[in-house]
Amino acid sequence: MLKKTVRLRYSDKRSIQTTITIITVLCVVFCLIPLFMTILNSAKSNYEIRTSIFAFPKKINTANYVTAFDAIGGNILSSVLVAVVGGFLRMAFAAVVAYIFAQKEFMGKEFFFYLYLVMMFVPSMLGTSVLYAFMYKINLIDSYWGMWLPYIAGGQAGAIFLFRTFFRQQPKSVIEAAKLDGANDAHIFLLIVVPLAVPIIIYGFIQGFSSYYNDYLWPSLVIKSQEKITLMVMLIRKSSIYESNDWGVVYAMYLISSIPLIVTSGISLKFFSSGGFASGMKL
Amino acid sequence: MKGKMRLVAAIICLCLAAGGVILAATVLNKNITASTENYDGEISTFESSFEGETYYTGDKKGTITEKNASGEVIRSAKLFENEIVQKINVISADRILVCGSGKGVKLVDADLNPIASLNLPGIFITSSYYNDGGAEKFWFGVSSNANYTDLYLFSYVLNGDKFEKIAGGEFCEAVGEEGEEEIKEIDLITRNVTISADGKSLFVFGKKGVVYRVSSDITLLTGGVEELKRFHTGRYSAPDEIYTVVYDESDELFYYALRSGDLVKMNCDFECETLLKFSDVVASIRYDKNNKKIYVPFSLVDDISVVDAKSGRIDYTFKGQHDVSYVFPYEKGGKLFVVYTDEDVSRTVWYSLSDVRFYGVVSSLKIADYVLTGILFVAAALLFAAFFSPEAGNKIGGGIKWFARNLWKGKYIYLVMLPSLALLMTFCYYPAIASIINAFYDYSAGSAKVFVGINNFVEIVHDPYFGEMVRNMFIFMTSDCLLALCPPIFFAFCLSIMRNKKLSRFMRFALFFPGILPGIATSLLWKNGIYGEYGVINALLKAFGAEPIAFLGSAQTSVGSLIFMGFPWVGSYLIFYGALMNVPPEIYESAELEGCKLWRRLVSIDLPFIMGQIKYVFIITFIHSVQSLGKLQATTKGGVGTMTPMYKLYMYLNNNEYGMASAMAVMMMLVLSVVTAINMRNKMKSEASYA
Repeated sequence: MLKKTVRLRYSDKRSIQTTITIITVLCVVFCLIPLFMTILNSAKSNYEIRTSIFAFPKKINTANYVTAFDAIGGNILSSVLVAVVGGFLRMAFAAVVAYIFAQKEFMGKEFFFYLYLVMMFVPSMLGTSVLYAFMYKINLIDSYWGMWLPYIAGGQAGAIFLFRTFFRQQPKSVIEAAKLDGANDAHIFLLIVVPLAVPIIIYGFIQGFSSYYNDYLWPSLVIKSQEKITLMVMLIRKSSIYESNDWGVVYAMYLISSIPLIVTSGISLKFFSSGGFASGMKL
Repeated sequence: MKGKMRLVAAIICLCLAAGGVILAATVLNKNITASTENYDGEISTFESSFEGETYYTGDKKGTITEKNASGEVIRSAKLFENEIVQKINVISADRILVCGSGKGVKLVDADLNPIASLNLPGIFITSSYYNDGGAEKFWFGVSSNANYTDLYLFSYVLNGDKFEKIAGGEFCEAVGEEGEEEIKEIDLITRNVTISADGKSLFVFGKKGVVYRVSSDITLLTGGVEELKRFHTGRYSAPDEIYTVVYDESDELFYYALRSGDLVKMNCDFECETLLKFSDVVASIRYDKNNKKIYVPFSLVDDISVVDAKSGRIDYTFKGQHDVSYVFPYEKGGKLFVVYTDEDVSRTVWYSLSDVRFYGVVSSLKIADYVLTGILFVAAALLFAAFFSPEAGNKIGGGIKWFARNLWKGKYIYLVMLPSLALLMTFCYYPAIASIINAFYDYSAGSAKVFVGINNFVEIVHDPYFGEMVRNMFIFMTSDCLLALCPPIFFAFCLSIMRNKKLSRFMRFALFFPGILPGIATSLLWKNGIYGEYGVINALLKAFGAEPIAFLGSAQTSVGSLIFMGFPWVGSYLIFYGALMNVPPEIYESAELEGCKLWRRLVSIDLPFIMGQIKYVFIITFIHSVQSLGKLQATTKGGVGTMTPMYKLYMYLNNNEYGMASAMAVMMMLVLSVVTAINMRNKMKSEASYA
């Protein structure tokens, strides 16, 4: 049998392959340095960190983790609650509206679309003070709804943007067929459009989740009571306490604060190992 | 249309239109301007003269001044040396009782000449006057100490030019079980003792919400519990602390406000009726006995409400300023005086009463009324056009039909979009628009909202850091966009042409890890662990014997360090990688056949294919870059040459300078839109060239 030594492409040339391997490996290494440092240093005592930041710890200093968990562990739940519900609701609203924009024609469609689009360009800081006063008036300060409602209102635009392009690309034929079979809009949306768009919906959810999980400004304004404070606010407060004496605890806190994000990143990895979803993320 | 009918229609239209215009104008003019009068000292109290023609002000230096409707001083007298004028009781046209913050009391005549004076046995708290069959009698509540921890009541009668004590003593209550009562001092009192209209009972309002009704012939309380019980003819406990009380003599009604914000009406038999529940803390209320209105200022919000005492309904609410301590309506002069006290410094402003009332009426209109007015206005304009030209009439009619038909066709769509739109409107548009309006006002917490036009913008441009801010904004904008596009695309490209699939999969797996650290943590990590004194870079430098560099601490390296953060900027490579995967490989084949080298292929084939994603990432990055705060907050806080407009906005907000913050935001928005417009135009041009 003839052995096919096919050089498939120019890009398969040895030299090129080695170059890009080196480049990408270096990139990955550098990307991992911060994380590596965090894990490393969270197990070291403060003295060790000060003297040599790269060295391996002599022994694993579990006290750091315990302290860190005491300091901010309780707030994980609160942050996750805010982020999950916020992300989910944002997606739900956005998906419905995006579907309408993608598949339906109606008077004022352009107008409404621009209504959402304009909001993306306005810095959310602009309305912060007025929004805060408004929240005070309607008594939503220090409540979860006071967090979710502005998040949904503000985050809709981006998600609608995202979903609309994706929905537009969905094959119209399937939808036509469903219509012929007598499906109404609700059916079409829930049974056809959504399942087809699961990857992008999950991506949208994760996007929302991480942006709400990471948000510092709004929770620091709105939440007043101890039980409801989100992780990020607590992290900033507590890290300044520990910064001068005990760096190890600070690093441990970073690690702990990343626990929910590990979950979401894992999910995103699983879903996006193919390339299919990327077709939706364009203008 | 017949000529006469046309005329009638025209007139109706004009009227409607005019009404709309006027209402719109007043609606837009939402601010009542405060005016100031000149006072030598800080005003502590106001009172209307007997006939109401003029008014008296007492100031903190012990002077009483009489002014007329135009604000001119008629006469003035310094009655006390070192005491604040605490209360002015206008008994008749010729008799005015002036009480100081210490023990001094003076009775003056219409010319402010002292008739009689009295040194109270204690520090003045409050006073009441009553006419007992021709004899002028006074009640004074005093305390033995400046903390007002106890209450003594004394009654005096005015005899010629002397005050003669009738009766009085320490005000106590009997506490305990029936038969085993003890006499206890009252704990913490308000400044309110009122005598009922018939002069027979004294009402003492204690701060803890307890109201005592006491017989007015109280004498020195040495008689023990029984005597005490004889004098206390009634006791009532309100559900919460009573902050402020006023009394209507003619109706014999009390109006008081609880700490919880309830406004309660009470008669002399302690029968109470809650008139209103306010959601904000009420400051001292003022009673206008001529019109029977209660002026209710609030401690923490800028509002002052006017309540009609009879109906118990709010007439209107208007916006004043922060920290109201005193309200005084002066009918004759058409002024409403408000004293604001900010950390012991008082200032007095007055609002035109007619403005206040008019604005109050306008503002009590609900949104529905505004919308209705708007519709009326539009309808009027349309009718006008329709009547005056038949073709326009047809077009308008057709247009309306078209509008209504489409509205009906899309009814479900609009319904479904409604919740989302409602959220968008209330939580995005309303704050944004209100903030934009704020940009033209000098609006900071604790001071009046004054229209200043473009002053805020001028102030921003003249800020010494302005040049730095603009420069930084553009630097960060370009660097962010470049770093968000070039390295990820390059990396994705490398991955995509990698032959060793296992390696590429491993890399993608490895790159999932950096994403787990929250953004704040990453910034802090860079600041301390990498740039910091004990950080990686400086450790390396030390190992080579070089001096450590304060990356984020010095003006030369700060901006560069901030940009360098996040090396190697792999970012959202996954999007581009996914897009590259979708490129059909046949394209590559045919390009190869035509002799296309690698670099050329990247530029001419791959890039156009992923242009959609590039645009998406570009826009998202662009928008976020201008609004970004996190990096700066975690690291330099805008110091050492890294100030950006966004951070300045944040600083304004923290200082509660809302007007400046809004102005900054408006400027940022303008820049953003200009840059976006340019970009869009460029993109269109390039698209056209492809086609």
